Amino acid sequence: MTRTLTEELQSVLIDRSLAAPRPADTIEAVLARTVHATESDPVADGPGGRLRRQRRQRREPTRPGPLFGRRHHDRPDRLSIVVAAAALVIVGAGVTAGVRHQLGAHHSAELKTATSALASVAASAAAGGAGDQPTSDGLGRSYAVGTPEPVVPGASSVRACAVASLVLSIPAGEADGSSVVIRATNVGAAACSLNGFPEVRVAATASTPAAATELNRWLRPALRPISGLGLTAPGTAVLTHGQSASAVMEAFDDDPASCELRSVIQARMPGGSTYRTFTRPIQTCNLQLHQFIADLATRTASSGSAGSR
Amino acid sequence: MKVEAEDQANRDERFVLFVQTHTDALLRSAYLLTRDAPDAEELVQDTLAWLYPRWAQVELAEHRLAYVRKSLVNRFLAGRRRLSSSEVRFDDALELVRDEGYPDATTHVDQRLEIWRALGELSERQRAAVVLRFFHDLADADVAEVLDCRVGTVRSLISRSLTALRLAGAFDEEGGSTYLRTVT
Repeated sequence: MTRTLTEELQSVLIDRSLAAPRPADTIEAVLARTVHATESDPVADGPGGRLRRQRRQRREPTRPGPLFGRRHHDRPDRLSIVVAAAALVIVGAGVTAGVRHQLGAHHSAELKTATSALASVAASAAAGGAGDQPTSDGLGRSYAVGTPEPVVPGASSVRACAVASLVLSIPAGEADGSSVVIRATNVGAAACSLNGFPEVRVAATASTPAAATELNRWLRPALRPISGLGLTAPGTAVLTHGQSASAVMEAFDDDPASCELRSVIQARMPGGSTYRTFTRPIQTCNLQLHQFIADLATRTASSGSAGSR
Repeated sequence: MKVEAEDQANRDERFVLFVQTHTDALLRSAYLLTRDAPDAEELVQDTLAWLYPRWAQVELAEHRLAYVRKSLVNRFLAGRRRLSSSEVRFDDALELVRDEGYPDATTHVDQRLEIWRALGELSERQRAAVVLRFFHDLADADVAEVLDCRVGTVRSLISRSLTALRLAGAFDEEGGSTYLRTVT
């Protein structure tokens, strides 16, 4: 009996997969970088400590995780960590760019993401410019978010934010253009729900915007819904007057040759008629746009008043 | 605040359980993509570490492993180095020595080695399509979802990949092996 190419190919793949690394070390390393890492004292680390720690851990990927297998009640008081983290964010907002500069020009994707997450949270504390862009709820597609977002009870009963009730702004982003935070603030009197993505274009200068089709290909959501695999819609941010949600746009410079530094970002909410122009540096390599998520203050208020899931 | 902290703690527990359960499978996928053990470990670590703060979002997926695998493939496509097509790995040579149980072992091993080597010569995207299609048994439409492209593109990727593998592995036009007539 003759084996076909595909049968032989499957056989080779299965055999070769057996040569994959054993999982024990990887499991420990992952937990050391994630669950265990969050249980250190962010205040003791100082501003930018998380970034330094993640960079250090990349150099020591198999460092044993001391908390591996620990039970929930053994953990440090998370409330104090959250409070301390908030303090860190306020301080860190002013020094993020400096820390990144110290860490070098070419960051790993992980470091970029970590920095973007910090920037996202910092956006809620730092002042930003104002815009006048309209919006609808802007959904439809996709996905992948910067930080976990609580699903607010009763969110479905809140009306989608009206076009005129949201103001877009982009607080100063990373100096090297690795990421920016696009922020939408509810300036309407009533609470409204926000979900989805802003529409973004990137250009070299304000007077020479690139064609939208060219830019769109750069804006690839990191994780789109998998229709055949049962992924459901993400949670919706409910914004009362003055509250905001942010969408992170970040570049991954694993292939620096493909990077181009642009200086103008144009953004609007879906349904808006015009783009608001911001002068912010942004790299165009492997640019990924994330969904709006409620800012820290909004999430805290929501979990405090209505609880979270 | 207390509710939020408890949520995070519970989410951590579920994340740990997922990591303990699925890291092996993810490492296999990563190894087939990267063809290098340290690279595979790093890819899995990076993917899970990146998803950790987004775990609430991952948990919305009915099939979390598929979701995480999609993220892993995306990260691989975003930044992995390509193995030089001329490089012959040490484990290839070991395989050649180990694999002696077949009839006409030399030619069979040669062919399997050529297939593995040819997989390394495919583009990252082609290799990802082949691994998803033939190792994970995903339908073309599901491969298209993972790779964020059309079904037609997936078919094209796989067709070109199979052509390359066919040439490398000495398969005839119908896909039958010219080496393996006696192998069952």
